[in-house]
Amino acid sequence: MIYFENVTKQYANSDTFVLKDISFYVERGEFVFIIGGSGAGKSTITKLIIAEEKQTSGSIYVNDVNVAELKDKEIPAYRRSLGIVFQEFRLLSTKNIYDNIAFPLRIRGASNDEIEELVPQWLDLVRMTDKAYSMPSELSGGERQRAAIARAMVNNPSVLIADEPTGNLDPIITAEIMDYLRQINEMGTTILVVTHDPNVVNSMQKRVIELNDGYITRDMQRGGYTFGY
Amino acid sequence: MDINIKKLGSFIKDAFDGLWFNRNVAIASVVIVMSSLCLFGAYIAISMNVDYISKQFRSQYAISAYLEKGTPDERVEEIREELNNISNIATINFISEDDALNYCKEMFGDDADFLNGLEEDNPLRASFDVTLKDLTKAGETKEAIEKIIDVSWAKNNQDFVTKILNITKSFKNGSFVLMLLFSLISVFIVSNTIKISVSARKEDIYTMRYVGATNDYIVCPFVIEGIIIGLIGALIGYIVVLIGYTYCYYMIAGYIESLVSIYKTHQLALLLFGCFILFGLIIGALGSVYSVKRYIKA
Repeated sequence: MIYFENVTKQYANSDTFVLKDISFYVERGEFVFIIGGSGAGKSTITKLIIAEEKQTSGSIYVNDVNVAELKDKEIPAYRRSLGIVFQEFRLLSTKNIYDNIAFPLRIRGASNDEIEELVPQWLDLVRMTDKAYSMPSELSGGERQRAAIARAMVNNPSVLIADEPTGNLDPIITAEIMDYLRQINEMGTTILVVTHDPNVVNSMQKRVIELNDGYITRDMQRGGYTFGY
Repeated sequence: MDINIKKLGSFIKDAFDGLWFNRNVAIASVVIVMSSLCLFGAYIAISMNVDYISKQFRSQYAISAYLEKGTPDERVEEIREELNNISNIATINFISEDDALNYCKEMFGDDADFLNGLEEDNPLRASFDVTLKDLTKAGETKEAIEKIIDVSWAKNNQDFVTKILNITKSFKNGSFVLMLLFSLISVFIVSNTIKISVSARKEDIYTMRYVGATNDYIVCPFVIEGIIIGLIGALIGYIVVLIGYTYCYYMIAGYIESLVSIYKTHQLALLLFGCFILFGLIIGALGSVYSVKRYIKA
């Protein structure tokens, strides 16, 4: 599903290696936390997976696609095969919630019938039906993140990448969001959550890959996290 | 670009959503496009009229070649042939001694009594009025005419014509440079205004990229937005210029109609409409593409 093989990443004009020869494999249907303190290299893993950055050396495969070898024109289609959730929600500010969730379907070229079937389903799943025609700016953080999860999932991706999905949310909403991710995982979607929040990791008891200073220092099934901030 | 009708409909909807969401910037952009195009329209209207007036002067301009008294008819025909051989002469009109007297009578109207009786011993000379192809060569042409035997002298108002030609030329050169400058400044300002609108939504552009939108999908709504801004600005500017021109026409036309005429509003309307729509469209589309391009790497 996701395979990092001896991946090293050094940004241009920098002597520092953000990732140093890391390797890991995520099975289909797994739920994995990537944890670590600030500057550990967690978000770089997300950027490499979504092809925003290219590794300096090593190989990355997602769904058997060699990510580094994707041509520019192939990247949009590749990204459409993933679901991505961000800390800042990243809903399109000029579109209401319905159109935000419909957006990935529209860029895929889905028919109106398909859009009219799938969007209400996902609005219902994340309990946002009554907010369908609200603008993102009118919603709370939790509501926006629920809408962002619906948008990430509406194309039924095999893997969902969540970069600090609860970073801007209070503990109650955080628990709610994590519960959505758990349910989605139970439906068969592989989930990769990047976080530095120990409460989130400890409450879920899922596989944990811990990064420190660019190295993988721990890879543990049903792990916890005590370092935190 | 792989764009079908369904996508185009979606882009247009997105463009209107974007315009509404950023309506303050959109209104500012429309005002700037409109102002730029008003300047552009004023330049076109003035420039066209200067050309038109200049053409009228050119067509009215003639050299009169006066013949010796008593030149026989056969010789008059020979002189016509010789005039025909001068390459810069466009048209030739013969005015006999009788015609000249009649013109004088017409000119003096009720006060023409003192001309009575001159029919028997007409002191006026027959002449050829010739118009020219190239007015800048009026001096040489006059000299050539005066060399013809039996032409006693040729008369023109060279200084006046030269002045008109110089003024026209200077105006056209000067106003073209000014217009070019204004156009560049306008495109720069419009492009920057649209850039503000695009910049306000750069996070949206990044988000679109991350969820797998192609560059076409990202750029098209912005381009349509720019085109809509350009067209609305062009239409309002067009109406403003037409009203302004009509007002100016009625102010000026009365004073100068005995001398020259200028274009009526309806004669310029179609040309101005075409220019405004084209210019508005280009400003809007180019401004958007230029502004959004920096955010759309893969």
